[in-house]
Amino acid sequence: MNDNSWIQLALYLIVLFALAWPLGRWLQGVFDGSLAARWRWMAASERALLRLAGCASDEDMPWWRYAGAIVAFNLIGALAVYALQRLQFVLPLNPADMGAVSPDSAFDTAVSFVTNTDWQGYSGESTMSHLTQMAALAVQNFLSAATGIAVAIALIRGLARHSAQGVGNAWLDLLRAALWILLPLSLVFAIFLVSEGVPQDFAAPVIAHTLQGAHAQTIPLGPVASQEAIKLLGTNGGGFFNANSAHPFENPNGLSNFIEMLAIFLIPAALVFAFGRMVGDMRQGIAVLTAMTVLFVGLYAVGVLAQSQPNPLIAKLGVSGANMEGIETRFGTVASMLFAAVTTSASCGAVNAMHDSLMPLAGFVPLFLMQLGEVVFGGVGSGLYGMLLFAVLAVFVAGLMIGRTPEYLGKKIGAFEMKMVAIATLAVPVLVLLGTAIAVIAKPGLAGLSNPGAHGFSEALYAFSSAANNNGSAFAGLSANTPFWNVLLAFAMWYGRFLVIVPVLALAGALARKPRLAESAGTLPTHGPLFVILLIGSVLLFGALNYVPALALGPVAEHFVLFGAH
Amino acid sequence: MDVVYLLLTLAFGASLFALNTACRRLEQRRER
Repeated sequence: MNDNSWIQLALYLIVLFALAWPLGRWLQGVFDGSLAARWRWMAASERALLRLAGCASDEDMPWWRYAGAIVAFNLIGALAVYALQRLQFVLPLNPADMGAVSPDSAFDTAVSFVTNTDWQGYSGESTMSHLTQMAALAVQNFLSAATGIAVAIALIRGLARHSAQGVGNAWLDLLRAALWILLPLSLVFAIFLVSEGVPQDFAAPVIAHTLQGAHAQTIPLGPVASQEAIKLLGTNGGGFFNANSAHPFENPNGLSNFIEMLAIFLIPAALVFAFGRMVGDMRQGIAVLTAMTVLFVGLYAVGVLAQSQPNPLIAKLGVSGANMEGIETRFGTVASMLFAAVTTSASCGAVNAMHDSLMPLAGFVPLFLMQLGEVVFGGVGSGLYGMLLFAVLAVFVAGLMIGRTPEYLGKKIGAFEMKMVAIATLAVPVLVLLGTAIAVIAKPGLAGLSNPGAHGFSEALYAFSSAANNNGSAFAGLSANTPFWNVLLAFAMWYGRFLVIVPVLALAGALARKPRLAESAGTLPTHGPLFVILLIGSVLLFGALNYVPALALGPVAEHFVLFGAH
Repeated sequence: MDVVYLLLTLAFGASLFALNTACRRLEQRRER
């Protein structure tokens, strides 16, 4: 690794933490209601909007009502996104005369955007009308991110409260997440993107005549900046264009690239600070954030090292330097690997380089980061609640080792809590590994792979790791817009999201009811270096135990084939 | 095909409500 890679990383983390700290304070104020109490207009607008939505009360809900509201809300969202795609040809704001999206693709896309995955089997600029992009996809970008934040806040309340029946009001939390966090940040970020040259209009595609004269080039335009902003801030990742953030209209220059990477981690990092504040001990938040940062820096370093080496096949042709296939020359190797590590640590899935073209072990890094459960900063909300599951797992393992009942933040962890943690942590690996296995033995699955051997296996493994962990990025070589892939991936996305959310809310409810125990000499401190190491170890061991055999068949085998044979 | 995907979406939702109920029952059983 050269100085450039360390300087970019250090600058990135410094600016990130400097912005996330005050935002964490804002998040706490929004969700504990202290901002609404101080600013009456805020409370009045919340009440008015809740009444408009038909929600009569903003009182606390028990966890199962909270979970029911979240599931119902997202189910209705999926139906609405499906309908908008199927009917877009008769709806307004369709200057390019896009036809109806095919049923299987519409289904896959509806589930994808509702679950914050934003896996795209289609090419946005040639499939979706402006109305679909705005009213279906961009709206779900806000709502799915708000869902993640609400669930994380409910879990924090479960840890922070004691002897309480409720974990908050789902409707109020969803509203507050969208209204006071996502909308204002997106507005500011969209204006910045417009200033850098990202389009924001309702125009039909422009026909340009190239220098060759004979070829007319169609240049799609549309409301790109507004979608781009929430795409990154909400860790959604679904691009207006097929090339995503590698497209100059989505990500025009080095500055926009840097700010886009910041936008991905901003809310996840701020939520960790908010967690520290809400449980009344910032050291707890710092411990979780330290574990996340160590994991992130370590895996980013592996990625940069792997990507900096020349491809032996290309080096044999006399071309020197790092492998640049699939890398935007505007950004280069370091900024591309940093983006790849950021987007797959979070559940974003936006890409500024084609992950399919990365060197085998550099491709391993985004794959493994997703497989860790996207808890390294992670998705908006989902990263924090995923990491807190690992924290509970870590104290449970530590409790087994020393023969004491495990506790986290003064709450005893019992059998029910561990059952919920087990469902939430094991559901995703089961979906990834079973889905990949089905795809590589079924004919329609194999038909989507564009490469034979280990790389083709990586494409399938990446697709299911991305879908079930709600990331949405792809190894670009996969042709997944077929009924087989669309339905199977939709299954992985839906259950990968909600088989975690429902048990997490059950865990939140169970923890909220428990009394808070005073610290004793036998309590494992969860704010010190020992716990940070234990947490990092739990995350890595979990990822390794679940996925090493599959990774050995994919990127690791490809690495040995590439370097062993040449 | 729209009906098939509509039913599939509803089945996705229904399975989660079932999980919600199952978790709640498990918790109630523990409390008793």
